[in-house]
Amino acid sequence: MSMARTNAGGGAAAPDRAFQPSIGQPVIELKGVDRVFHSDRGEIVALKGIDLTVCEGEFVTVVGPSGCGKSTVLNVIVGLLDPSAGEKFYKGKPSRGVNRNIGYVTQADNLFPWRTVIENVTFGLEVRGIGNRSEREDRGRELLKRVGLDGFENHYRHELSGGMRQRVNIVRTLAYEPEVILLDEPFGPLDAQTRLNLQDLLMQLREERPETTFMFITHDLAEAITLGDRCAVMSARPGRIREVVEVPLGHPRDVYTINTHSDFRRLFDEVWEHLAEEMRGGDGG
Amino acid sequence: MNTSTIIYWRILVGIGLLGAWEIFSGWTFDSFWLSQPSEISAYLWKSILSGQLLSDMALTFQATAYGYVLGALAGLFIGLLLAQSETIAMILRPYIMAIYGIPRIALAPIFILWFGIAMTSKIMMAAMMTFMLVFFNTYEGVRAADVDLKSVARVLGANRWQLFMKVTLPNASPWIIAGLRISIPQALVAAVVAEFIASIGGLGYRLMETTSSLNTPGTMAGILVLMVVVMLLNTILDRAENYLLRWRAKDQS
Ligand SMILES: Nc1ncnc2c1ncn2[C@@H]1O[C@H](COP(=O)(O)OP(=O)(O)O)[C@@H](O)[C@H]1O
Ligand SMILES: [Mg+2]
Repeated sequence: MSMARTNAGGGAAAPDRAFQPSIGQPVIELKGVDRVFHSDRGEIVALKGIDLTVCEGEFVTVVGPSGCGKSTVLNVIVGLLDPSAGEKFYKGKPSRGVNRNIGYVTQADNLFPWRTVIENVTFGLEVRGIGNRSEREDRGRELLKRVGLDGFENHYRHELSGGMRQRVNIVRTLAYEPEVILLDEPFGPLDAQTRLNLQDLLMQLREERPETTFMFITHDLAEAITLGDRCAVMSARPGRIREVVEVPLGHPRDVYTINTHSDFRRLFDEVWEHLAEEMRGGDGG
Repeated sequence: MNTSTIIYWRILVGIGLLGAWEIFSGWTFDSFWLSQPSEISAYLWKSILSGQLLSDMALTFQATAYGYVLGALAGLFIGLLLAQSETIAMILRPYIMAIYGIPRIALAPIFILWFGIAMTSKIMMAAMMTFMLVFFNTYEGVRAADVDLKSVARVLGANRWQLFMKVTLPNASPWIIAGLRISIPQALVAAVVAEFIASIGGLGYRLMETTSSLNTPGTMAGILVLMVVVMLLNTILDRAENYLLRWRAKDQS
């Protein structure tokens, strides 16, 4: 795959890069956010009193037991769902409805099946009226190449594997460079190597777009620590933020070797302990 | 079996069937009932030479075409309109179902009463038939639109109009195209039926006229012409549909 990069040195930090994220003002703020679903079987309290602040340029990862409301948090942040109670701010201002500054890589690929790969990838630029057709396609092609999908521009969804679809889904959001990028278990259907390559791509993008803010849901704790500046651990349903663990592993990060960092194990165990307690406690706690 | 062998056998079967028809009709039963391929082709040849077949076809196809375009436009427009509002859809649902349940051919006599025995009633029959199919398919197609794809499009920045043009419509296109496609032969049938009941020309009129004058070769020739036309139309429409919906996975090879 073309996106693999040679790695200088065996340490956690690649010495040829001097990137340090600069964390700015709060971009996303949730204060006491509840979300209740009404169904035939009664009410489901998916979120209860979520407090969370994510600042500009930050990379926050989210882990939690399945069904605890992780996807619901992202749906509320992007504005596809309204909070049942509590407040939501974007850059200090109360926000309602779909926020077009926030990109969202959904858990399901949700590609438009009637559009080719390149037409999917340029959709955001197209509806926003950015650039002309060939400029948009150049931009899309460049990103497709970085995820190893050059040559697949004119394929339709049904001609792609699950992993390829998900990469197109990711590129579709990266292409129009939103201020905030939310990703919901984006690497789920990918094999281990592609996964590493894409983690690396995200780290590169942070350097290229230092103002971009990331929120990244995963069920893989190692991934959460590899990528995040902070890792939020959610409680079992009803979802709350149980703990936010700082991940002081420094920058730039080399995703291929970061797990050899002396602090990695300690951080992993710390997050794991919180999570294990939630999974064991289940509904009781 | 490869394609050319299949085509070879197809032709063989066709010749066999025609031959059996020619031999058994007139030998085991009176050829008056089914006529014979030789008689039918003689009749066809005669009506081609006299120009009658062409003028009948022209009358029927003209009515079909006008009616189809009229019905398709109306069906598309009203289907798209009604599918916009959940409330309107809920209120109208039983009525739409009821109207859809009417056997459409049963409307032919009243159409003749309303629109006379000239061109208009044929056009209206074809239009009504097309309208029903296109309207219903469009309406269902738009309402079946994928909620998640719409959400994604909104997040990607689509406004209401773009959402409609770039998500709702293409998402509904398999239904809409199916409606447009199945209604073409149906519109033809509707026009022919209107001609059966009362008219002054056209393929349906000729079918009635030849049957009532006990001209079986003429009747069979008319049926044959309709069969060939509908088959040709279906082949063309299959091709068009496959091209337009090439983004869909094919279940069969
Ligand atoms: N649209 C919905 N209607 C009803 N219940 C829902 C809906 N979306 C999510 N839920 C429920 O809310 C809870 C949290 O769901 P979700 O956010 O998808 O969890 P996670 O992403 O952490 O696995 C689950 O119990 C789920 O069944
Ligand atoms: Mg989820």
